[in-house]
Amino acid sequence: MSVIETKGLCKSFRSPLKKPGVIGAVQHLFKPEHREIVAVTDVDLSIEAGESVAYVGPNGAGKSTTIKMLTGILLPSGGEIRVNGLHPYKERIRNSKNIGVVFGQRTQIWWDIPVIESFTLLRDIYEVPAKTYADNLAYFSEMLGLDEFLNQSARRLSLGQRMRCDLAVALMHNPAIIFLDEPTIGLDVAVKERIREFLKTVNRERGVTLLLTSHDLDDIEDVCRRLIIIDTGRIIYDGSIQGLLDKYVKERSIRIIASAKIDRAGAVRAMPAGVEIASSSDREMAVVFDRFRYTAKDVLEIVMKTVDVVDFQLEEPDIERVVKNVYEGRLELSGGT
Amino acid sequence: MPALKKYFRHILCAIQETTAYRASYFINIFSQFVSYFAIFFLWRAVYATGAVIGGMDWKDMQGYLLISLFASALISGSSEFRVSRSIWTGNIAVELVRPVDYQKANFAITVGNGIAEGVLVAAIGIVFAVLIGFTVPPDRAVTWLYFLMAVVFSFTTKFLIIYIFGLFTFWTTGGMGLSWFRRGLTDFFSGAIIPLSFFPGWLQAVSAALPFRGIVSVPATIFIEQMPESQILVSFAVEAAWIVGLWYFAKLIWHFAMRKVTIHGG
Repeated sequence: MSVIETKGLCKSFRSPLKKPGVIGAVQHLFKPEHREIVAVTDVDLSIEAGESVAYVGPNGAGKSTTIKMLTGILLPSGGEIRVNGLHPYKERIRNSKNIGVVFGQRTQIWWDIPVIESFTLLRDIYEVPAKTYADNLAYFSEMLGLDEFLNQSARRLSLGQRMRCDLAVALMHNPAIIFLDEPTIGLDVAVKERIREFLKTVNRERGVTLLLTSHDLDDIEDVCRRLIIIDTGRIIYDGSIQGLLDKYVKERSIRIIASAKIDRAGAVRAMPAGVEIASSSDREMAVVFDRFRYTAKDVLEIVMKTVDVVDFQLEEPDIERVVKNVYEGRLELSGGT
Repeated sequence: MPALKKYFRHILCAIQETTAYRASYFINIFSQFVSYFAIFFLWRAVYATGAVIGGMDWKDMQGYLLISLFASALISGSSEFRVSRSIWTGNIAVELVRPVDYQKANFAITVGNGIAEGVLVAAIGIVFAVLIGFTVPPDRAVTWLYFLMAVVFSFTTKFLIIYIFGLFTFWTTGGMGLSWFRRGLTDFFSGAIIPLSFFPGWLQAVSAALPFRGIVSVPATIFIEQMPESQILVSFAVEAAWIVGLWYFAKLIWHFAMRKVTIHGG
């Protein structure tokens, strides 16, 4: 059953159009001009219960706008939208009981009172039964290590501690879906890993559907099975992460360290078609090859004929490169799998 | 009533929040007294000749000023900007993903802040009254009852006016100018600066047609026992009607404002 379903979803904003300088500002005061900005256009989504989906795109692509429509904050300009069978904007309060939301840049916790009081407030807001609340609090405290700061006020917490609290809050009422908008922004590696581990666990053990946006592609590879890429308001890829790699990453690369100075010209001559030297310095070079034509072993053998290899490192095709190429407009994706 | 429980919990959290910063809590309250001292001495100079103005002698005026201070202090700075701040920072997004009615939640928080500040203001008000030698509080129990009811009406009316002006931030994106305008209107037409009975007839008619008089003038006039019982009941009926009207007007504004929501980034 699809828990999230959209068809032809669109959102455009009216944005003030100001001419530069003071004169422009004064003109705008008396004769405001606006232009339509299309944030999201024609987005079709269909997400099943229990899926973990990454929603990726460059800044301003429309990720947050989509999330805000799915969580009932924004009214779509067009198209159909259903979350757990409800219209999230028109049935905002009913919809909000079934979803949890984490905004990486904002917090649900009250700034000036102890964290535990915010938890109690949210317990009452969501009308969580006492037993469920106690169980969940124990479970989240243990998994996220909340005990040490539950009695401190939120303003004293570090960003990582605050984010762990926000995750617990978002899941306290056992929502069917959790939306995470850049949940790991600004966090250190250890906290990021803890959060990923946590998300994977709640997805696996509790069957919570995840939809997360992030610029950290490690988050995505680690936590999500499915990837949706949006650019300039339009979905340009929807499929598995492996599928994306198979389709768009033809190359792998090997970094070679030689015992002596590399004769670059000689090495270039020795490479067959489909194997290229991407860069080289004194005793180091990077060889890029078509991974569908050659194995790493083939390439190493070829290289070893001309260069005395002391060490090498194989770089796996990664999603980061694909996404970067997409963001920079160097790769056109053509539909999903 | 679990539905009420969530709003009750908002009140409790708001009380804790108000008292979180002790220094700012006391300074906030102290600042209210400073400005009222100024007004107090101004009126004392006016009454130096022992005149009776607009039907009020100096003792009446002292009582009036005390209640004016109390009514103004019940909703202070933190509540004034809550809505507009959450709109222009975009934090309203967080509040919208929860199963709460934004208006009721805001009212509950304002009640919490009001309790935390109001209790202390009332306590200091009594000390203040003793200091200035004010000795004639209402002696009839029924006057106290009417007065308490008037305070509830005053609080609710003022909340709704602040809330509605806060929602206008959706259109203006800045809350400062709106707040100054709101304050000017409220202070003038509520009788906080000058009792409404001092106004010329036409201005009295204007203020009677507006909801602001319930904020200061009605509770203060009841307190100094200058309002006949029949008039009190009429005033309450009018105020109740205003509250219901403003409550639904705020809902209507909210309905249109939500369509204006544009929270970029984050």
